[in-house]
Amino acid sequence: MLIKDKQIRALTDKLERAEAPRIDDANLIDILAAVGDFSDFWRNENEMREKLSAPGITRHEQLELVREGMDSAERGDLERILDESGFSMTASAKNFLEALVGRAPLDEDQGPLELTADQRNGFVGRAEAGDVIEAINLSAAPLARLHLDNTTEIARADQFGKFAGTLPDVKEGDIVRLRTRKADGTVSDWVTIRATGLSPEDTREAQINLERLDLVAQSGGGIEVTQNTARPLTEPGATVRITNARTGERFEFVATDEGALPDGFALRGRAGDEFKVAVSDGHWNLSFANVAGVLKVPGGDNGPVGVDVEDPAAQKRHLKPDGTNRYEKVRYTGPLFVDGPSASDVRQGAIGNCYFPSAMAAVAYTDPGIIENMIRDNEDGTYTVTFQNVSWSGATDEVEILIDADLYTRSWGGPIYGVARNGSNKPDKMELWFPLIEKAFAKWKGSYETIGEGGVAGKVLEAVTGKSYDYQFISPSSKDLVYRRIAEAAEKGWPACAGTHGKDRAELYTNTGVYANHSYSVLGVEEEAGVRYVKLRNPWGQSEAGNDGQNDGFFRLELDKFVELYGNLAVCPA
Amino acid sequence: MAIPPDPIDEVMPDVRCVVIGEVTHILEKWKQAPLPKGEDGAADVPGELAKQKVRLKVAEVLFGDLTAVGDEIEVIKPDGDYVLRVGNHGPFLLGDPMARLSSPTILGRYGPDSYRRDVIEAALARG
Repeated sequence: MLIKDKQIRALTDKLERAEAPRIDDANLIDILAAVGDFSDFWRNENEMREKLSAPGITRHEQLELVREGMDSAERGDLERILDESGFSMTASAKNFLEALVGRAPLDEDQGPLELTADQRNGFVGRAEAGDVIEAINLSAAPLARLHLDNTTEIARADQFGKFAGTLPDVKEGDIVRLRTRKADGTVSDWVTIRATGLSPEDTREAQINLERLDLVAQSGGGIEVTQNTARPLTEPGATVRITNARTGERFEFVATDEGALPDGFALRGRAGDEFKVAVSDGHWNLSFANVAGVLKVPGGDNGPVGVDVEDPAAQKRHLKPDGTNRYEKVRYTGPLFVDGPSASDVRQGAIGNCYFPSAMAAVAYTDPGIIENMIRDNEDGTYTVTFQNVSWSGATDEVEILIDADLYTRSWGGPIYGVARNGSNKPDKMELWFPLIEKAFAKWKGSYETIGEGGVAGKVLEAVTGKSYDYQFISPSSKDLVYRRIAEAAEKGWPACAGTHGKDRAELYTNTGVYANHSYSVLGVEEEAGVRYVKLRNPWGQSEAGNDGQNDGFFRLELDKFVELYGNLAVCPA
Repeated sequence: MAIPPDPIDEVMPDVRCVVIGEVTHILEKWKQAPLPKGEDGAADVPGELAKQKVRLKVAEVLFGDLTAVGDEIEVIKPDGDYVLRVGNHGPFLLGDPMARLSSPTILGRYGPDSYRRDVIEAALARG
C-alpha cells in the first residue's frame, strides 16, 4: 500500500506493526488530524486533533472540518486505506472514511467519533442517554492499590447520549479502560485506549507492585512465583525482567491484559536468593537499568555460608610486621554476574597485576561467553574456575581451581585486590566474577604476591581463551601495520592488550593521561575526519587520556600518540 | 608498579596545601637504583623512580597557606611511579607526612596526574 502523505504513512505504518491492525474511532481521529491539518507541521495536526475532539462536536461537524483541509493526495491515501490496507475497521470508522471520500452518506446515527483519549479535552463520546461513564487508569493502578473495577465516574451521557469527562493524573501513553454503567447497574464491555495528545512523548514509566508477588522455594529446586491478589501487578503488556542477584540469571514475562503475572511463570534459584525486578513499558527503561525493587525467597542463610577452602596468601606488603594479614577476609555472597560480564566491570586493585585485569576486560569486551563458562557456582559457597594451560605445541590442558568467596577487604569496605567497578562493593551486593577469577588465578600461580609483581597480558589471554597469543613490538615506523592488526582483531572479536614502555622512559608519560609500565585493553580502532584513533581501556576503571567527562577508563588515542606511548601489542586469535 | 591512584580520602589527611602549578626547573635528581626488567611484554614490573627536587611555579592555591599565587617553591617528588620534567603541570597535593623534610613532598602516587581538579575539590569540600 503506497501512502503518499508522510504523516498518514507514519500512522498506517504503526498500525501495520500491530498484531491485529484495526481502525477504530480513537486511531481514526489521529489519521483525520493528519488529513485535515492544511500542512505538514505537527502543530497544525495537534490543533486539528483538538478541534475534532472538542466536547459536543457532531459527526457532521467533524466531517466538514476534515474536508476543509483535505487535498487530493490525502483523499487518495484514504481510498487506499479503505481498499488496500486490509485493516479491520469499526462500522463507525468505515462509514466516516467512506463519507469523507464521497462513497457513502454520513451515518449521523453513529454519533461523533468516540473516545479520542485526548485528555486536554476529556474523553468524548456517545453512549445511551443517562449512562454513567466509568474509567480506570491501568498505568497508575498498580501502585494506587486499585482493583481493576475500582473505577472513577468521569461523566454521564446527556439526553442525546453525548458525554465528555476527564480522569485525574492521566499522562501521555497511559492505558485507560472505560465502560458504561446503566441505571440498573449493568455494565458494558471494557474499551481500552492509550492516552494521546497530552505531550510529545510517553511520560510515565511502567509501575510494578512487588508486594503482590510471592516467591517460594520448591523442594525439587526452582522458585514458584504467585500473584497474591487480583489487583494488577503492573501495566498491561509491560515486560518484567527478574534477575537472580546470586547467579545473574535473567527471567522475563509480559504482563497480561489485566496487568497480571501470566500462568506458569517460574524462576530458578534457592531459598535466600534475592531477585532484582525491573519493568519496561516498551518506551521507558528499555535496558532495564532502573530496578524497581528486590524480592527475596524466604529461608536460606545469606551470612557466611558454605564450604571454606584455602585462600591464596596476600601480598607481603599487605601483612603486618608479625606476619598476620593487615586486611580481614570477608565472605562475599553477591551475584556472579550483573547483566553479564563486561569490560566496564573490571577494576584493578592495589596490586601490581595490570596485565591480568586488562586481559580479563579485553575478553569480557570481545567474548563475554568465555567468562561465563569459565566460572561455575558450586552452590555450596565455592566456585570452580577453569583456566587453560597452553603448551608450546599449542595443546591445552584444563586446570580447575576451587575457591570460596573470601576476599581480603579494606576496613572501610571493598576488596583490596580486584573489584567490580560497577555498582556496590558490599559483600552481599558486589558482582563477583572478576575478583573471584583473579583469586583463582592467584591460587593457581601461588599467591597474590606471585601475581602482583608484574606479568604478561598475552599469557592471561591464553590462559582464558586456550588459544596462543601473538606479540609484536610497536614503534612509529610500524604504525600502519599495528593499526591494521588492531582493526583485524576488533573485526574478528579477538581480545587484545597493549603495554606502555617501562619506567626507564617514564618522563614520556606525566601529563599524558597514560602511564608507564602499564597494560591496557585494546578495544578497536576508529577514524574521524581523517584522523586514526585506537580505542583503549585503563584497567583501573579510571584515569585516561583526554577528558570525555566519564573517567571510566575508556578513551581513545590518536594513532601517532599510541605508537609513541605504547611498546607492545598482544592479540589472541580465536 | 602501575597500580591505581591511592584513594584520595586516604591521602588528604596528610595534605597541607593544594596548588595548581608547573614545574619550571629540575633542581636535583637522586641516584636511580637499577630497574628490574621483565620479560617481553611484561607490565607492572616492580621498581620505583628516584626522588627529584623541582621548582614549582604556583598558578593557583586551592587549599592551605603554605604558599601563594606567583610563588616559586621547591618541592620533593618522592621515590615513586612517575618522574617530572620541566613543563609538567596540574594539581599538586603537598604535604610532609614524615615531618622531617625541609621542602614539602608531592603526595599521591602519580603527582600532577593523580587526581582531577574536580575530584580534589570534592575531597576538600568533604573536609
